[in-house]
Amino acid sequence: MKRPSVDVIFLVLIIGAMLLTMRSSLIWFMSPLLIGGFLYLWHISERSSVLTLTMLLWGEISVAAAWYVLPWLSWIIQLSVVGLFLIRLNIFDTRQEHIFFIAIISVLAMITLLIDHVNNITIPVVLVIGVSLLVIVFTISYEFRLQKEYGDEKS
Amino acid sequence: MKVKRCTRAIITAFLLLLSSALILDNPGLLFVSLALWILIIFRYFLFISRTKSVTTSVQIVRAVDNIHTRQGISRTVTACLTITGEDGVRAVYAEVIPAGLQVEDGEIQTHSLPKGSHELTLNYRITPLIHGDLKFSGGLLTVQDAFFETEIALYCSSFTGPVLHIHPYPLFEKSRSNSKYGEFESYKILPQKSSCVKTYRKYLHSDDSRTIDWKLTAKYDTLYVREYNSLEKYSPIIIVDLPDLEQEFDEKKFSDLIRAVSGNVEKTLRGGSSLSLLIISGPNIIFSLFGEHDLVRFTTIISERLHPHTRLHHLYRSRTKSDIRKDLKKLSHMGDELREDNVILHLSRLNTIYHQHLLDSGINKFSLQISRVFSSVKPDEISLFSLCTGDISYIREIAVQARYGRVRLKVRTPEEKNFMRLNPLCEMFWDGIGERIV
Repeated sequence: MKRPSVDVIFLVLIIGAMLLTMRSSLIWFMSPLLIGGFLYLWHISERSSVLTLTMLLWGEISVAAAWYVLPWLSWIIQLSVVGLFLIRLNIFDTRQEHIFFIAIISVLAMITLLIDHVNNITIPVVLVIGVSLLVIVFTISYEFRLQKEYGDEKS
Repeated sequence: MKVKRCTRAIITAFLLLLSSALILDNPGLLFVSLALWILIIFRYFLFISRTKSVTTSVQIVRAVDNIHTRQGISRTVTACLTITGEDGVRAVYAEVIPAGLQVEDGEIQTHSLPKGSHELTLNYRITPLIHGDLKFSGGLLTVQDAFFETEIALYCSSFTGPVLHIHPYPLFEKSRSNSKYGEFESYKILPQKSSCVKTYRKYLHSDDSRTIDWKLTAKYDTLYVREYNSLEKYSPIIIVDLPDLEQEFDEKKFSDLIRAVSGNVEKTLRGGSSLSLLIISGPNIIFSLFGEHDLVRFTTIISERLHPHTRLHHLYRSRTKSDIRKDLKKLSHMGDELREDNVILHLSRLNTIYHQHLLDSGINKFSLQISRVFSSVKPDEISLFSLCTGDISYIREIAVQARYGRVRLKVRTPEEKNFMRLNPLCEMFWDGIGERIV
Protein backbone atom coordinates (compact mmCIF):
# COMPACT_ATOMS: atom_id res chain seq x y z
CA MET A 1 0.00 0.00 0.00
CA LYS A 2 1.27 3.40 -0.89
CA ARG A 3 2.26 5.48 2.15
CA PRO A 4 0.64 8.89 2.33
CA SER A 5 3.03 11.79 1.90
CA VAL A 6 3.93 14.00 4.88
CA ASP A 7 2.01 17.01 3.57
CA VAL A 8 -1.20 14.94 3.34
CA ILE A 9 -0.72 13.80 6.95
CA PHE A 10 -0.26 17.41 8.09
CA LEU A 11 -3.34 18.55 6.14
CA VAL A 12 -5.44 15.75 7.63
CA LEU A 13 -4.21 16.71 11.13
CA ILE A 14 -5.18 20.35 10.59
CA ILE A 15 -8.60 19.56 9.18
CA GLY A 16 -9.28 16.97 11.90
CA ALA A 17 -8.21 19.34 14.68
CA MET A 18 -10.31 22.17 13.26
CA LEU A 19 -13.36 19.91 12.96
CA LEU A 20 -12.95 18.94 16.61
CA THR A 21 -12.72 22.63 17.45
CA MET A 22 -15.95 23.26 15.55
CA ARG A 23 -17.83 20.83 17.77
CA SER A 24 -17.22 22.63 21.03
CA SER A 25 -16.22 26.17 20.25
CA LEU A 26 -18.40 29.22 20.60
CA ILE A 27 -16.97 30.53 17.38
CA TRP A 28 -17.57 27.28 15.49
CA PHE A 29 -18.67 29.21 12.38
CA MET A 30 -15.08 30.48 12.02
CA SER A 31 -13.65 26.96 11.56
CA PRO A 32 -14.93 26.24 8.00
CA LEU A 33 -13.70 29.66 6.96
CA LEU A 34 -10.26 29.02 8.46
CA ILE A 35 -10.04 25.52 6.93
CA GLY A 36 -11.15 26.74 3.50
CA GLY A 37 -8.79 29.71 3.57
CA PHE A 38 -5.87 27.58 4.67
CA LEU A 39 -6.47 24.91 2.02
CA TYR A 40 -6.76 27.56 -0.66
CA LEU A 41 -3.54 29.26 0.47
CA TRP A 42 -1.79 25.87 0.58
CA HIS A 43 -2.92 25.26 -2.99
CA ILE A 44 -1.71 28.59 -4.36
CA SER A 45 1.36 29.07 -2.16
CA GLU A 46 3.53 27.22 -4.69
CA ARG A 47 3.49 30.37 -6.79
CA SER A 48 5.39 32.70 -4.46
CA SER A 49 7.09 32.90 -1.10
CA VAL A 50 4.76 35.74 -0.04
CA LEU A 51 1.78 33.39 -0.31
CA THR A 52 3.70 30.77 1.70
CA LEU A 53 4.22 33.30 4.47
CA THR A 54 0.54 34.29 4.29
CA MET A 55 -0.34 30.61 4.66
CA LEU A 56 1.79 30.42 7.83
CA LEU A 57 0.15 33.48 9.37
CA TRP A 58 -3.33 32.25 8.39
CA GLY A 59 -2.53 28.96 10.08
CA GLU A 60 -1.52 30.85 13.23
CA ILE A 61 -5.05 32.30 13.41
CA SER A 62 -6.38 28.72 13.47
CA VAL A 63 -3.90 27.92 16.25
CA ALA A 64 -5.14 30.87 18.34
CA ALA A 65 -8.78 29.91 17.69
CA ALA A 66 -8.17 26.27 18.72
CA TRP A 67 -6.50 27.25 22.02
CA TYR A 68 -9.86 28.01 23.65
CA VAL A 69 -11.14 24.49 23.00
CA LEU A 70 -8.05 22.50 23.96
CA PRO A 71 -4.41 23.68 24.12
CA TRP A 72 -3.16 20.34 22.72
CA LEU A 73 -5.38 20.73 19.64
CA SER A 74 -3.70 24.06 19.21
CA TRP A 75 -0.30 22.33 19.46
CA ILE A 76 -1.29 19.78 16.78
CA ILE A 77 -2.37 22.53 14.40
CA GLN A 78 0.82 24.44 15.14
CA LEU A 79 3.11 21.54 14.28
CA SER A 80 1.13 20.86 11.08
CA VAL A 81 1.29 24.53 10.03
CA VAL A 82 5.03 24.75 10.66
CA GLY A 83 5.57 21.43 8.88
CA LEU A 84 3.60 22.54 5.82
CA PHE A 85 5.45 25.87 5.84
CA LEU A 86 8.81 24.07 5.77
CA ILE A 87 7.57 21.70 3.05
CA ARG A 88 6.55 24.66 0.91
CA LEU A 89 10.02 26.17 1.34
CA ASN A 90 11.51 22.86 0.08
CA ILE A 91 13.65 22.45 3.19
CA PHE A 92 11.82 19.56 4.85
CA ASP A 93 13.65 16.79 3.07
CA THR A 94 16.82 16.12 5.05
CA ARG A 95 17.61 14.28 8.24
CA GLN A 96 18.89 17.47 9.87
CA GLU A 97 15.60 19.22 9.10
CA HIS A 98 13.60 16.34 10.57
CA ILE A 99 15.61 16.54 13.80
CA PHE A 100 15.10 20.30 13.81
CA PHE A 101 11.35 19.82 13.36
CA ILE A 102 11.15 17.29 16.21
CA ALA A 103 13.11 19.71 18.42
CA ILE A 104 10.80 22.62 17.63
CA ILE A 105 7.60 20.66 18.29
CA SER A 106 9.09 19.36 21.56
CA VAL A 107 9.82 22.92 22.69
CA LEU A 108 6.32 23.97 21.62
CA ALA A 109 4.89 21.07 23.63
CA MET A 110 6.76 22.28 26.70
CA ILE A 111 5.50 25.82 26.14
CA THR A 112 1.96 24.50 25.78
CA LEU A 113 2.34 22.59 29.02
CA LEU A 114 3.78 25.62 30.76
CA ILE A 115 1.09 28.07 29.61
CA ASP A 116 -1.66 25.56 30.32
CA HIS A 117 -0.53 24.89 33.89
CA VAL A 118 0.56 28.37 34.91
CA ASN A 119 -2.41 30.65 35.11
CA ASN A 120 -0.31 33.66 34.31
CA ILE A 121 1.16 34.73 30.99
CA THR A 122 4.03 36.81 32.38
CA ILE A 123 6.04 33.84 33.66
CA PRO A 124 6.06 31.92 30.34
CA VAL A 125 6.86 35.14 28.44
CA VAL A 126 9.78 36.02 30.69
CA LEU A 127 11.04 32.44 30.67
CA VAL A 128 10.87 31.89 26.94
CA ILE A 129 12.15 35.36 26.01
CA GLY A 130 15.00 34.99 28.53
CA VAL A 131 16.06 31.62 27.15
CA SER A 132 15.72 32.92 23.59
CA LEU A 133 17.87 35.95 24.33
CA LEU A 134 20.53 33.70 25.80
CA VAL A 135 20.45 31.56 22.66
CA ILE A 136 20.62 34.68 20.47
CA VAL A 137 23.57 36.10 22.42
CA PHE A 138 25.33 32.77 22.15
CA THR A 139 24.76 32.47 18.38
CA ILE A 140 25.69 36.10 17.70
CA SER A 141 28.93 35.72 19.66
CA TYR A 142 29.52 32.48 17.76
CA GLU A 143 29.05 34.32 14.47
CA PHE A 144 31.40 37.11 15.55
CA ARG A 145 34.00 34.57 16.53
CA LEU A 146 33.58 32.94 13.13
CA GLN A 147 34.03 36.32 11.41
CA LYS A 148 37.09 37.03 13.51
CA GLU A 149 38.61 33.60 12.95
CA TYR A 150 38.54 33.97 9.17
CA GLY A 151 38.62 37.74 8.88
CA ASP A 152 41.80 38.56 10.77
CA GLU A 153 45.04 38.06 9.01
CA LYS A 154 47.40 35.97 11.07
CA SER A 155 50.95 37.27 11.00
CA MET B 1 24.08 39.20 9.10
CA LYS B 2 21.06 40.20 7.07
CA VAL B 3 17.52 39.22 7.95
CA LYS B 4 15.44 38.37 4.89
CA ARG B 5 11.98 39.70 4.17
CA CYS B 6 10.28 36.48 5.25
CA THR B 7 12.02 36.60 8.63
CA ARG B 8 11.22 40.29 9.08
CA ALA B 9 7.52 39.54 8.54
CA ILE B 10 7.58 36.68 11.07
CA ILE B 11 9.37 38.82 13.68
CA THR B 12 6.84 41.63 13.15
CA ALA B 13 3.96 39.17 13.59
CA PHE B 14 5.61 37.83 16.76
CA LEU B 15 5.97 41.31 18.27
CA LEU B 16 2.38 42.25 17.44
CA LEU B 17 0.98 39.01 18.85
CA LEU B 18 3.12 39.19 21.96
CA SER B 19 2.07 42.75 22.75
CA SER B 20 -1.57 41.80 22.08
CA ALA B 21 -1.21 38.80 24.41
CA LEU B 22 0.24 40.95 27.18
CA ILE B 23 -2.41 43.64 26.78
CA LEU B 24 -5.38 41.23 26.46
CA ASP B 25 -3.94 38.66 28.90
CA ASN B 26 -4.61 36.00 26.25
CA PRO B 27 -2.67 32.68 26.48
CA GLY B 28 -3.75 31.63 22.94
CA LEU B 29 -2.07 34.63 21.35
CA LEU B 30 0.94 34.10 23.60
CA PHE B 31 1.32 30.52 22.38
CA VAL B 32 1.12 31.61 18.74
CA SER B 33 3.64 34.42 19.20
CA LEU B 34 6.09 32.18 21.07
CA ALA B 35 5.75 29.51 18.37
CA LEU B 36 6.80 32.01 15.72
CA TRP B 37 9.65 33.19 17.91
CA ILE B 38 10.91 29.64 18.53
CA LEU B 39 10.74 28.94 14.79
CA ILE B 40 13.01 31.92 14.03
CA ILE B 41 15.44 31.09 16.84
CA PHE B 42 15.84 27.51 15.67
CA ARG B 43 16.31 28.56 12.05
CA TYR B 44 18.99 31.01 13.10
CA PHE B 45 20.81 28.37 15.10
CA LEU B 46 20.64 25.98 12.15
CA PHE B 47 21.83 28.65 9.73
CA ILE B 48 24.89 29.52 11.83
CA SER B 49 25.92 25.88 12.18
CA ARG B 50 25.60 25.37 8.41
CA THR B 51 27.53 28.56 7.70
CA LYS B 52 30.34 27.30 9.90
CA SER B 53 30.46 23.99 7.98
CA VAL B 54 30.56 25.75 4.60
CA THR B 55 33.25 28.21 5.73
CA THR B 56 35.42 25.45 7.13
CA SER B 57 35.29 23.60 3.83
CA VAL B 58 36.61 26.51 1.73
CA GLN B 59 40.10 26.11 0.27
CA ILE B 60 41.68 28.52 -2.18
CA VAL B 61 44.88 28.19 -4.17
CA ARG B 62 45.66 31.32 -6.12
CA ALA B 63 48.39 31.73 -8.76
CA VAL B 64 49.54 34.57 -10.99
CA ASP B 65 51.32 33.86 -14.28
CA ASN B 66 54.20 36.09 -13.17
CA ILE B 67 54.44 37.70 -9.74
CA HIS B 68 56.99 40.23 -10.99
CA THR B 69 55.18 42.61 -13.26
CA ARG B 70 55.19 46.17 -14.39
CA GLN B 71 52.60 48.83 -13.74
CA GLY B 72 49.95 48.76 -16.48
CA ILE B 73 50.78 45.28 -17.77
CA SER B 74 47.98 42.71 -17.51
CA ARG B 75 48.49 39.44 -15.70
CA THR B 76 46.32 36.35 -15.50
CA VAL B 77 45.20 35.13 -12.09
CA THR B 78 43.93 31.60 -11.54
CA ALA B 79 42.12 30.86 -8.29
CA CYS B 80 41.28 27.20 -7.65
CA LEU B 81 38.45 26.96 -5.15
CA THR B 82 37.21 23.92 -3.25
CA ILE B 83 33.97 24.32 -1.30
CA THR B 84 31.37 21.98 0.12
CA GLY B 85 27.79 23.23 0.17
CA GLU B 86 25.37 22.30 2.93
CA ASP B 87 21.69 21.34 2.99
CA GLY B 88 19.30 24.22 2.67
CA VAL B 89 21.92 26.94 2.17
CA ARG B 90 23.50 28.40 -0.93
CA ALA B 91 27.01 29.79 -1.01
CA VAL B 92 28.66 32.32 -3.32
CA TYR B 93 32.37 32.99 -3.25
CA ALA B 94 33.79 36.25 -4.64
CA GLU B 95 37.42 37.29 -4.92
CA VAL B 96 38.42 40.52 -3.20
CA ILE B 97 40.64 42.54 -5.50
CA PRO B 98 43.17 44.69 -3.64
CA ALA B 99 43.03 48.44 -4.19
CA GLY B 100 45.38 49.37 -7.00
CA LEU B 101 44.49 46.43 -9.21
CA GLN B 102 41.92 46.65 -11.94
CA VAL B 103 40.05 43.61 -13.23
CA GLU B 104 40.13 43.52 -17.03
CA ASP B 105 38.04 40.47 -17.78
CA GLY B 106 37.19 37.00 -16.50
CA GLU B 107 35.18 35.76 -13.54
CA ILE B 108 35.86 36.81 -9.97
CA GLN B 109 32.70 35.31 -8.48
CA THR B 110 31.17 31.85 -8.48
CA HIS B 111 27.55 31.15 -9.20
CA SER B 112 25.24 30.15 -6.36
CA LEU B 113 26.58 26.81 -5.10
CA PRO B 114 24.07 24.24 -3.79
CA LYS B 115 24.72 21.20 -1.58
CA GLY B 116 27.70 19.03 -2.46
CA SER B 117 31.40 19.29 -3.08
CA HIS B 118 32.49 21.79 -5.72
CA GLU B 119 35.87 22.34 -7.32
CA LEU B 120 35.92 25.53 -9.34
CA THR B 121 38.52 27.62 -11.11
CA LEU B 122 38.20 31.38 -11.43
CA ASN B 123 40.29 32.93 -14.18
CA TYR B 124 40.62 36.66 -14.54
CA ARG B 125 43.03 39.28 -15.78
CA ILE B 126 44.22 42.15 -13.66
CA THR B 127 46.12 45.31 -14.47
CA PRO B 128 48.18 46.96 -11.73
CA LEU B 129 47.53 50.70 -11.54
CA ILE B 130 50.05 51.42 -8.81
CA HIS B 131 53.53 50.11 -8.10
CA GLY B 132 54.83 48.37 -5.02
CA ASP B 133 54.03 45.05 -3.39
CA LEU B 134 50.36 44.07 -3.43
CA LYS B 135 49.02 41.01 -1.69
CA PHE B 136 45.82 39.29 -2.76
CA SER B 137 43.67 39.81 0.29
CA GLY B 138 41.35 36.80 0.08
CA GLY B 139 37.67 36.59 -0.70
CA LEU B 140 34.13 36.99 0.52
CA LEU B 141 31.88 34.04 1.17
CA THR B 142 28.16 34.77 1.12
CA VAL B 143 25.93 32.11 2.66
CA GLN B 144 22.15 32.39 2.56
CA ASP B 145 19.02 30.39 3.15
CA ALA B 146 15.32 31.30 3.07
CA PHE B 147 15.55 33.26 6.35
CA PHE B 148 19.05 34.69 6.76
CA GLU B 149 22.07 35.81 4.81
CA THR B 150 25.60 36.41 6.04
CA GLU B 151 28.92 37.39 4.57
CA ILE B 152 32.14 35.89 5.90
CA ALA B 153 35.35 37.72 5.01
CA LEU B 154 38.06 35.18 4.30
CA TYR B 155 41.12 37.29 5.03
CA CYS B 156 43.24 34.93 7.10
CA SER B 157 46.61 33.78 5.82
CA SER B 158 45.36 30.54 4.26
CA PHE B 159 43.18 32.51 1.82
CA THR B 160 45.54 35.37 0.96
CA GLY B 161 48.49 35.69 -1.36
CA PRO B 162 50.48 35.57 -3.51
CA VAL B 163 52.26 38.91 -3.30
CA LEU B 164 52.47 40.74 -6.60
CA HIS B 165 55.67 42.74 -7.06
CA ILE B 166 54.77 45.64 -9.31
CA HIS B 167 57.58 47.70 -10.76
CA PRO B 168 56.86 51.27 -11.79
CA TYR B 169 56.16 52.25 -15.33
CA PRO B 170 59.25 53.90 -16.79
CA LEU B 171 57.86 57.40 -17.20
CA PHE B 172 61.17 59.18 -17.43
CA GLU B 173 63.16 56.74 -19.46
CA LYS B 174 64.84 57.73 -22.68
CA SER B 175 62.95 56.91 -25.82
CA ARG B 176 64.11 53.79 -27.62
CA SER B 177 66.76 54.59 -30.13
CA ASN B 178 67.99 52.55 -33.04
CA SER B 179 71.71 52.37 -33.38
CA LYS B 180 73.26 52.51 -36.80
CA TYR B 181 75.92 49.94 -36.03
CA GLY B 182 73.90 46.77 -36.45
CA GLU B 183 72.31 46.89 -33.00
CA PHE B 184 69.15 48.32 -31.48
CA GLU B 185 67.80 48.69 -27.99
CA SER B 186 64.76 46.78 -26.85
CA TYR B 187 62.69 46.24 -23.70
CA LYS B 188 63.12 42.47 -23.82
CA ILE B 189 65.15 40.95 -21.00
CA LEU B 190 68.33 39.80 -22.67
CA PRO B 191 71.88 39.16 -21.45
CA GLN B 192 73.34 41.96 -23.51
CA LYS B 193 72.63 45.38 -22.01
CA SER B 194 72.95 48.80 -23.55
CA SER B 195 74.26 51.82 -21.69
CA CYS B 196 70.84 53.50 -21.52
CA VAL B 197 69.10 53.33 -18.15
CA LYS B 198 65.53 52.17 -18.67
CA THR B 199 64.29 52.77 -15.14
CA TYR B 200 65.12 52.67 -11.46
CA ARG B 201 63.46 50.27 -9.08
CA LYS B 202 63.82 48.92 -5.56
CA TYR B 203 66.40 46.26 -4.97
CA LEU B 204 65.11 42.70 -5.04
CA HIS B 205 66.78 39.64 -3.69
CA SER B 206 69.11 38.10 -6.34
CA ASP B 207 69.65 41.42 -8.15
CA ASP B 208 73.19 42.05 -9.29
CA SER B 209 74.88 44.28 -6.72
CA ARG B 210 76.75 46.06 -9.51
CA THR B 211 73.50 47.60 -10.71
CA ILE B 212 72.83 49.35 -7.37
CA ASP B 213 72.52 53.09 -7.80
CA TRP B 214 74.35 54.40 -4.77
CA LYS B 215 73.24 58.00 -5.20
CA LEU B 216 69.54 57.14 -5.03
CA THR B 217 70.20 54.60 -2.30
CA ALA B 218 71.90 57.21 -0.15
CA LYS B 219 69.19 59.76 -0.86
CA TYR B 220 66.23 57.58 0.10
CA ASP B 221 67.99 55.17 2.46
CA THR B 222 66.65 52.24 0.44
CA LEU B 223 68.50 50.11 -2.05
CA TYR B 224 67.69 51.14 -5.63
CA VAL B 225 68.95 49.42 -8.76
CA ARG B 226 69.27 50.59 -12.34
CA GLU B 227 67.58 48.68 -15.13
CA TYR B 228 69.19 48.99 -18.52
CA ASN B 229 67.72 48.57 -21.94
CA SER B 230 68.65 45.35 -23.69
CA LEU B 231 70.66 45.32 -26.86
CA GLU B 232 69.66 43.28 -29.85
CA LYS B 233 71.50 42.81 -33.11
CA TYR B 234 69.85 43.30 -36.42
CA SER B 235 69.67 40.04 -38.29
CA PRO B 236 69.06 39.80 -42.00
CA ILE B 237 66.18 37.80 -43.37
CA ILE B 238 66.23 35.67 -46.47
CA ILE B 239 62.95 35.14 -48.30
CA VAL B 240 62.93 32.28 -50.79
CA ASP B 241 60.08 32.25 -53.28
CA LEU B 242 59.41 28.69 -54.50
CA PRO B 243 57.94 28.26 -57.98
CA ASP B 244 54.44 26.93 -58.48
CA LEU B 245 54.40 23.13 -58.80
CA GLU B 246 51.57 23.30 -61.33
CA GLN B 247 53.31 25.79 -63.58
CA GLU B 248 56.33 25.27 -65.80
CA PHE B 249 59.64 26.59 -64.53
CA ASP B 250 63.29 26.35 -65.47
CA GLU B 251 64.84 23.72 -63.22
CA LYS B 252 68.38 24.85 -63.92
CA LYS B 253 67.59 28.36 -62.83
CA PHE B 254 65.85 27.04 -59.75
CA SER B 255 68.90 24.97 -58.78
CA ASP B 256 71.04 28.09 -59.34
CA LEU B 257 68.69 29.96 -57.02
CA ILE B 258 69.01 27.30 -54.32
CA ARG B 259 72.77 27.35 -54.63
CA ALA B 260 72.70 31.13 -54.26
CA VAL B 261 70.53 30.82 -51.16
CA SER B 262 72.93 28.28 -49.62
CA GLY B 263 75.91 30.51 -50.34
CA ASN B 264 74.19 33.54 -48.86
CA VAL B 265 73.19 31.66 -45.71
CA GLU B 266 76.69 30.29 -45.20
CA LYS B 267 78.31 33.67 -45.77
CA THR B 268 75.98 35.41 -43.30
CA LEU B 269 76.36 32.79 -40.58
CA ARG B 270 80.13 32.70 -40.87
CA GLY B 271 80.05 36.44 -40.27
CA GLY B 272 78.76 35.65 -36.75
CA SER B 273 75.26 37.03 -37.23
CA SER B 274 72.01 35.16 -36.76
CA LEU B 275 69.73 34.72 -39.74
CA SER B 276 66.03 34.40 -40.37
CA LEU B 277 64.58 32.40 -43.22
CA LEU B 278 61.12 32.71 -44.71
CA ILE B 279 60.03 30.30 -47.42
CA ILE B 280 57.08 31.38 -49.51
CA SER B 281 55.42 30.23 -52.68
CA GLY B 282 53.68 33.20 -54.16
CA PRO B 283 51.49 34.73 -51.42
CA ASN B 284 51.60 31.49 -49.37
CA ILE B 285 53.95 31.26 -46.39
CA ILE B 286 55.40 27.73 -46.31
CA PHE B 287 57.98 27.82 -43.54
CA SER B 288 59.70 30.29 -41.23
CA LEU B 289 62.75 30.18 -39.00
CA PHE B 290 63.82 33.22 -36.99
CA GLY B 291 67.13 34.19 -35.39
CA GLU B 292 68.96 30.92 -36.00
CA HIS B 293 72.76 30.51 -35.85
CA ASP B 294 73.06 26.83 -36.72
CA LEU B 295 74.32 26.25 -40.24
CA VAL B 296 73.50 22.52 -40.14
CA ARG B 297 69.88 23.33 -39.44
CA PHE B 298 69.74 25.73 -42.36
CA THR B 299 71.36 23.11 -44.64
CA THR B 300 68.76 20.54 -43.60
CA ILE B 301 65.91 22.98 -44.21
CA ILE B 302 67.29 23.97 -47.62
CA SER B 303 67.58 20.34 -48.70
CA GLU B 304 64.19 19.33 -47.33
CA ARG B 305 62.02 22.37 -47.94
CA LEU B 306 63.27 24.14 -51.04
CA HIS B 307 61.19 22.34 -53.66
CA PRO B 308 58.44 23.64 -55.92
CA HIS B 309 55.21 24.00 -53.98
CA THR B 310 51.54 24.15 -54.85
CA ARG B 311 50.22 27.70 -54.58
CA LEU B 312 46.85 27.67 -52.90
CA HIS B 313 46.38 31.43 -53.01
CA HIS B 314 47.19 34.01 -55.66
CA LEU B 315 47.13 37.78 -55.75
CA TYR B 316 46.28 38.19 -59.44
CA ARG B 317 43.30 40.37 -58.80
CA SER B 318 44.37 42.27 -55.74
CA ARG B 319 45.46 45.85 -55.83
CA THR B 320 46.25 48.15 -52.98
CA LYS B 321 43.79 50.93 -52.24
CA SER B 322 46.44 53.61 -52.63
CA ASP B 323 47.16 52.34 -56.17
CA ILE B 324 43.48 52.34 -57.00
CA ARG B 325 43.17 55.92 -55.80
CA LYS B 326 46.12 56.90 -57.99
CA ASP B 327 44.50 55.17 -60.98
CA LEU B 328 41.23 56.94 -60.26
CA LYS B 329 43.04 60.27 -60.35
CA LYS B 330 44.63 59.37 -63.67
CA LEU B 331 41.27 58.24 -65.04
CA SER B 332 39.62 61.51 -64.10
CA HIS B 333 42.36 63.47 -65.92
CA MET B 334 42.17 61.22 -68.98
CA GLY B 335 38.41 61.57 -69.12
CA ASP B 336 38.74 65.34 -69.55
CA GLU B 337 40.99 64.99 -72.55
CA LEU B 338 39.35 62.12 -74.47
CA ARG B 339 36.34 62.52 -76.69
CA GLU B 340 35.85 58.99 -78.16
CA ASP B 341 32.71 57.30 -76.87
CA ASN B 342 34.18 53.78 -76.60
CA VAL B 343 37.12 54.97 -74.57
CA ILE B 344 34.92 57.09 -72.32
CA LEU B 345 32.64 54.11 -71.79
CA HIS B 346 35.60 51.91 -70.92
CA LEU B 347 36.97 54.48 -68.50
CA SER B 348 33.63 54.99 -66.82
CA ARG B 349 33.33 51.22 -66.32
CA LEU B 350 36.81 51.10 -64.83
CA ASN B 351 35.86 54.01 -62.63
CA THR B 352 32.79 52.13 -61.34
CA ILE B 353 34.80 48.96 -60.71
CA TYR B 354 37.50 50.84 -58.86
CA HIS B 355 35.00 52.66 -56.70
CA GLN B 356 33.29 49.37 -55.81
CA HIS B 357 36.67 47.91 -54.93
CA LEU B 358 37.47 50.87 -52.70
CA LEU B 359 34.27 50.29 -50.75
CA ASP B 360 35.23 46.65 -50.18
CA SER B 361 36.98 46.31 -46.82
CA GLY B 362 38.85 43.09 -47.68
CA ILE B 363 42.30 42.82 -46.10
CA ASN B 364 45.20 41.22 -47.85
CA LYS B 365 46.19 38.38 -45.51
CA PHE B 366 49.62 37.95 -47.02
CA SER B 367 50.47 41.61 -46.36
CA LEU B 368 49.41 41.23 -42.75
CA GLN B 369 51.53 38.11 -42.33
CA ILE B 370 54.58 39.75 -43.88
CA SER B 371 54.05 42.85 -41.75
CA ARG B 372 53.95 40.72 -38.61
CA VAL B 373 57.10 38.89 -39.60
CA PHE B 374 58.99 42.12 -40.23
CA SER B 375 57.81 43.72 -37.00
CA SER B 376 58.82 40.70 -34.92
CA VAL B 377 62.15 39.95 -36.62
CA LYS B 378 63.20 43.59 -37.22
CA PRO B 379 65.58 42.76 -40.06
CA ASP B 380 68.17 45.24 -41.27
CA GLU B 381 68.15 43.73 -44.75
CA ILE B 382 65.82 41.50 -46.73
CA SER B 383 67.13 39.29 -49.50
CA LEU B 384 64.38 37.94 -51.70
CA PHE B 385 65.31 35.03 -53.95
CA SER B 386 62.73 34.43 -56.64
CA LEU B 387 62.45 33.16 -60.19
CA CYS B 388 59.94 35.97 -60.79
CA THR B 389 57.77 33.84 -63.08
CA GLY B 390 54.08 34.49 -63.55
CA ASP B 391 52.30 36.89 -61.27
CA ILE B 392 54.66 38.91 -59.05
CA SER B 393 52.18 41.08 -57.21
CA TYR B 394 53.11 39.42 -53.91
CA ILE B 395 56.68 40.73 -54.36
CA ARG B 396 55.13 44.14 -54.58
CA GLU B 397 53.44 43.52 -51.22
CA ILE B 398 56.77 42.53 -49.66
CA ALA B 399 58.36 45.65 -51.13
CA VAL B 400 55.62 47.85 -49.69
CA GLN B 401 56.01 46.33 -46.22
CA ALA B 402 59.79 46.68 -46.43
CA ARG B 403 59.35 50.34 -47.31
CA TYR B 404 57.01 50.87 -44.36
CA GLY B 405 59.59 49.24 -42.07
CA ARG B 406 62.43 51.27 -43.65
CA VAL B 407 64.28 48.06 -44.45
CA ARG B 408 66.53 47.56 -47.46
CA LEU B 409 65.17 44.94 -49.86
CA LYS B 410 67.32 43.10 -52.37
CA VAL B 411 65.49 41.11 -55.03
CA ARG B 412 67.72 38.40 -56.45
CA THR B 413 66.60 36.87 -59.73
CA PRO B 414 68.17 34.58 -62.41
CA GLU B 415 70.63 36.07 -64.89
CA GLU B 416 68.41 36.33 -67.94
CA LYS B 417 65.45 37.75 -66.13
CA ASN B 418 63.95 40.80 -67.67
CA PHE B 419 64.42 43.45 -65.03
CA MET B 420 62.01 45.71 -66.79
CA ARG B 421 59.23 43.75 -65.11
CA LEU B 422 60.65 44.63 -61.74
CA ASN B 423 61.48 48.22 -62.43
CA PRO B 424 58.14 49.63 -61.31
CA LEU B 425 58.61 47.72 -58.06
CA CYS B 426 62.16 48.83 -57.57
CA GLU B 427 61.01 52.42 -57.64
CA MET B 428 59.06 51.75 -54.51
CA PHE B 429 61.82 50.09 -52.54
CA TRP B 430 63.49 51.92 -49.76
CA ASP B 431 66.84 51.03 -51.21
CA GLY B 432 65.66 48.77 -53.98
CA ILE B 433 68.27 46.88 -55.88
CA GLY B 434 67.54 44.23 -58.47
CA GLU B 435 70.58 42.00 -58.29
CA ARG B 436 71.53 39.04 -60.42
CA ILE B 437 72.36 35.80 -58.73
CA VAL B 438 75.58 35.00 -60.51
